[in-house]
Amino acid sequence: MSTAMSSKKQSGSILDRTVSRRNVLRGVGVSLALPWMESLAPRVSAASLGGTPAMPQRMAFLFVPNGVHLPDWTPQLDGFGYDLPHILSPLAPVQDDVTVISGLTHDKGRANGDGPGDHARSASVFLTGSQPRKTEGADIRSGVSVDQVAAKLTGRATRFASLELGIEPGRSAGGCDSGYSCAYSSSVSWSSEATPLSKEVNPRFVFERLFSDKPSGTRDKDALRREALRKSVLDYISDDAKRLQSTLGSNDRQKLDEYLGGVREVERRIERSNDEPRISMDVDYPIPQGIPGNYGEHIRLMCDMMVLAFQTDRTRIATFMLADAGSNRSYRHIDIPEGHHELSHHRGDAAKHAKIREINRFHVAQLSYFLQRLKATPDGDGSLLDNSMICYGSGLSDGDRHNNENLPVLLAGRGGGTIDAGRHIRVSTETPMCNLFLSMLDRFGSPVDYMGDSTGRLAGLEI
Amino acid sequence: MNTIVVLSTRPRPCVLGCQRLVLAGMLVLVAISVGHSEDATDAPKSPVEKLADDLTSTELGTRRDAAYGLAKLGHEAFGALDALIKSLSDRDEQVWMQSAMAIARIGADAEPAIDALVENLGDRDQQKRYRAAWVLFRIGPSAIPRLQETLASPSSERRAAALDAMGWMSDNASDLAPTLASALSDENDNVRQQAAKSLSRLGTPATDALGQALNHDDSAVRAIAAEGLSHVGKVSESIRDRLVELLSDPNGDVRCAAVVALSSSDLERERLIEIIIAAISDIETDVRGAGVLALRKLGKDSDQAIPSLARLLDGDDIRARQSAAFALASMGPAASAATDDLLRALKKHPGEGQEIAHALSRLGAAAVTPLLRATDDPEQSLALLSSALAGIGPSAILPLIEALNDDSIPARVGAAQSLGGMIPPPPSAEDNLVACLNRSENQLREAAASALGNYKTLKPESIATLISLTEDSDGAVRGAAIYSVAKVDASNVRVREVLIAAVQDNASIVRRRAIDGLATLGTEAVSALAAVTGALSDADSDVRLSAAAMLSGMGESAKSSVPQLLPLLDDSDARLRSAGVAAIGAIAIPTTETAQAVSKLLGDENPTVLLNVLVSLTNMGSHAAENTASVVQLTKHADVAIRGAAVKCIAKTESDATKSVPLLIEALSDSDWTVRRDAAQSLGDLGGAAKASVAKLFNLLDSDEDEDAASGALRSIDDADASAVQTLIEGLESENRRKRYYAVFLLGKVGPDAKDALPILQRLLDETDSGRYRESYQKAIEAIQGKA
Repeated sequence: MSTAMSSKKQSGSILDRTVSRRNVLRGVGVSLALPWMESLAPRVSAASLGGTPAMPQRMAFLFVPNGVHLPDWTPQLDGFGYDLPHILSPLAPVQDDVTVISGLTHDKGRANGDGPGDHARSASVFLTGSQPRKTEGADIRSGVSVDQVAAKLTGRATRFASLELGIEPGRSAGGCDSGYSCAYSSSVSWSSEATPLSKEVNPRFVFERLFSDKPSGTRDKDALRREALRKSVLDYISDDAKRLQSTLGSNDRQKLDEYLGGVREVERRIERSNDEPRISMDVDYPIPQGIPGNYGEHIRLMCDMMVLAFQTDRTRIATFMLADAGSNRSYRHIDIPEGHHELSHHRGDAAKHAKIREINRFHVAQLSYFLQRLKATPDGDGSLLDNSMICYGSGLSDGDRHNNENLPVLLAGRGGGTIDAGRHIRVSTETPMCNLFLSMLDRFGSPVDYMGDSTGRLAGLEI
Repeated sequence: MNTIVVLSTRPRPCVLGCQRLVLAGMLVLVAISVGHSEDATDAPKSPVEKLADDLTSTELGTRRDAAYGLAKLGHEAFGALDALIKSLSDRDEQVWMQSAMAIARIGADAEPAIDALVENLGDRDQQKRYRAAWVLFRIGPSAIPRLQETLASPSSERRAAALDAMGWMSDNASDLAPTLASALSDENDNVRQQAAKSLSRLGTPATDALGQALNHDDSAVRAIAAEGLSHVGKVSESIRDRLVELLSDPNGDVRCAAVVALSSSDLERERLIEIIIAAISDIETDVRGAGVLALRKLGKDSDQAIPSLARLLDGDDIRARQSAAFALASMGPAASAATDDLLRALKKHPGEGQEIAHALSRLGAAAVTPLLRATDDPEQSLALLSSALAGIGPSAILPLIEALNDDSIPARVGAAQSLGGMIPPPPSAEDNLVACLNRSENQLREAAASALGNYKTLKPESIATLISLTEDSDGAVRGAAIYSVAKVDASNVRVREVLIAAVQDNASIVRRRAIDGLATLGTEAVSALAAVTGALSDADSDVRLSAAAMLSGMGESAKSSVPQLLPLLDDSDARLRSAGVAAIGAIAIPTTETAQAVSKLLGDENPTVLLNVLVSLTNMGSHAAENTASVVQLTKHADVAIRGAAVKCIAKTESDATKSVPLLIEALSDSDWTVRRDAAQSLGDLGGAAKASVAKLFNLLDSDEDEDAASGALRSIDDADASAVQTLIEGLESENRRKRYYAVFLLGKVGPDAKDALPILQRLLDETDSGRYRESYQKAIEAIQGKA
């Protein structure tokens, strides 16, 4: 497997080329990128010429395992003002920014002659649209995922080409699902057809990577020293921050305060998770330091990290697996002690349906948190959500049938005004999911002729 | 292998041009040079030739790798075209799919693959038909003659797939439009609709054909054509007039599509707004949605519709009022001119309050002041105004914090409610809300206390202030503080003590809120058991209700409260009978006596009570067996939920399967799928004892609604007897893959009694290409022959 955070090898030089000294606060071993602020914008900008500065587009893909309970996912109404079924109900505060897309298919997630192993296929196909080779050995093969297609074309503009995040550590070798390598179940991001990118599951490491000025690799000694002294990254950049404050307009001063407050809040929550007992009732593996025992808090921290990374333009592309494919995690915190995978084989059992839909709703509630955070974060004239495309879904439709048509998929954000969000769109049966990816790549500024099993662009994202 | 077969006997359209001739010439030259070499067979093969060879391997893995390799090459795979065409007959889906992708990426030069692809247009697999049509489109114009011939095929699926392929060929739209227009007269409705869809995809050159399709007898064709015209943009006056006529079409889909199409046309703005307003008042949701979409398309001009929308808000039609509010909400701050109209409507029509409040919240920061001022109007609902203010979000936080000190008391109360109603409540308002806890106005203290209860965490000093408020002189304030403190920190020992003490409070609202607060502790509320059990005889029925509800959530740890719950079963208030019986079912140790006490309510007229009685009896298992006859009566009840609960009750209480299975099989014929699901699941739970139900369950596999439950039950029963043999034999050649699978599997389970299935199983074994099916057939045959 390759690196967890796809940084460029010569990150120093690229950073120097693309990030001005004026929008980074520095301290010993710390480099705190700043969000976009009017006062820091180039003197001759589109804004000063009477236009709105073109803000960069961001793209994130969130994967959930085991499909969903579709009757409680799919809105009955089409178009604007669609109803929010039980699972989607947490999206009410951001409904106008969410486009539910029904009918997409991942044909390459089907067995197509390879027999069992639907869970592994569902993850590996999710962003690649490619049939994985059935093997438990090193000869794995899938395809380049949509995030990495974008990262290759535009990733040079930011310090990290992309972020790959997850919750469960997973395994990269050995067999996990009926003859499929674990690499297929634990990665959705593939930089080449044989290279799944391992994901980072520890929020502390992600935080340090985002705010360290070291190029990449393992934890640097400055981070360890900060941790030992219980010091905040803000302590190290405070002098620089004070100097900057005096040069900013009042709006930007408030914006900077809010941003630094947000960074500190995330840091505090990570510190709290360090102090937590290393026990979780939901999983059967030990939880390392820096990872909250509370699943929801863990997800939300990772979401906050994506927001910070997008806000400061450290990266514009992220993937996030809320759990690995086929995950049998239990959800005791919402009174569901049974494993998710076990429940997903519901055999039509109403009681199991009820529990699955609560798990599905819990995941969507975390998505809602992420979207609300993006919406509350200013970006140019709008919000981060306005300038983002957040694709959320599963590679399976129903966890019992293991079918790959009519996938649960939604696209949040407005793609910089290129998406008329807030609708429920139904597409023709068997329309490849990769057609959506092509349309997203167009809007991201990374158009390609095809990817995976695409047959064209997905029409109808704009009115 | 020297692949030089590129010159087709089929005439090529001139558009293919010189490039292909040059390419063909080069390949011929290569072939000649290879042919003249002294030892051509020993010449090293090119990578493409090697892949082409591999594509004919008998090893599946080799063929797959070759197909994947060729699919990545783009036009370079041309040298392997012959092999790729042969692979379109490969039985492996992956080899087929990757070969098809490779051919698509070769593009126009893959013309020799057309016949094989057209053959695939009739495949049983929908994805294969879709993919073959797409590859034909990628090959381009040279496929058109064969596609046109295919429209004479007797297979409707093949005809539809050919039309699908033509619909992608927008570069040849003018040539194809007449063919597609003719297909609108096809005898098959799917083919007709596909023709309309394909015409829509062709765009402007198909405008006339789409215009004619607006007069089609088939409403689906009319709707698709109208929608297609929305992508064309400018249409003739006659088409536009026809679209206007279709606004009165009896079919909602057609009206909806007409609105969408007209909103894309160059219809004069004033007329379009009239149409939009009419659409927003339509009886069908989709048409109203189309009206909103059309309004959004107007962009900045949408404000011209505000007066008309305001009139709708003031009208008598509830539906139109709701849609107008929704339309204004979709306009966001651009609808601020409608603020007063919305506030008037909020007062006049509280029934649509939620929709109107949402529209007000979408107006953004500009609506904060008018909303706060409206709190002074005693006829306005403070809750709705607060909901609108909370919905505005972050931009309302500062003005709302300021409003906590407003001169007007209702504005202060509204501000507190709004801050608490935000999701999540703003941390920056916590101190200000805590400060309100010490203010003299009861309403403000109550609102602030309730608002603080919505915070996930509070500072310790805030919690301390809230706890002190539990001794407030005003009951409503104490109640709010009690409940909030429980929500925020119920696990705190001090808080628990306060809650338990409050169960004895003088004010019933405080007693109720204290019990509701303790209920958040679930099974951990044992220390409160005595107090809550005592509350079952409280003079206030709401307090009794809260107490019964709380005990339900405590499980067996509350079993000692059963004697105090029993009197509730005789209460004249149905809510209390219902809560009482539910609590007994949840906490009591099952005994025949308790089952008898509960069963006396089997004749209750209240459906909620009945439902809870059935659930309670179900929990008591065989102790409630004596009631089967009464419960069977309820499987015919008008209420679906009661029928389902009765079915589950029979399954759990009647331990004699010879009695319960026939009753459950009968329930598989219920008119409601949820009852059938409950019956199927119950049969599955009985395992092999329910094998008499296999035939009935097997037939339910044909129903989308029942498929999951039926297959789940069949898997759990995992057995079958002779009574199912004939049904299973019929299923062996079903179109439904799942049925075929279960038929083979279950016939094997029947064993020698299924001997009538042997001839057909043997034939299917001889015919199949699938290794998995071969294995299944073999196993079943051996089981029936007694060899397994």
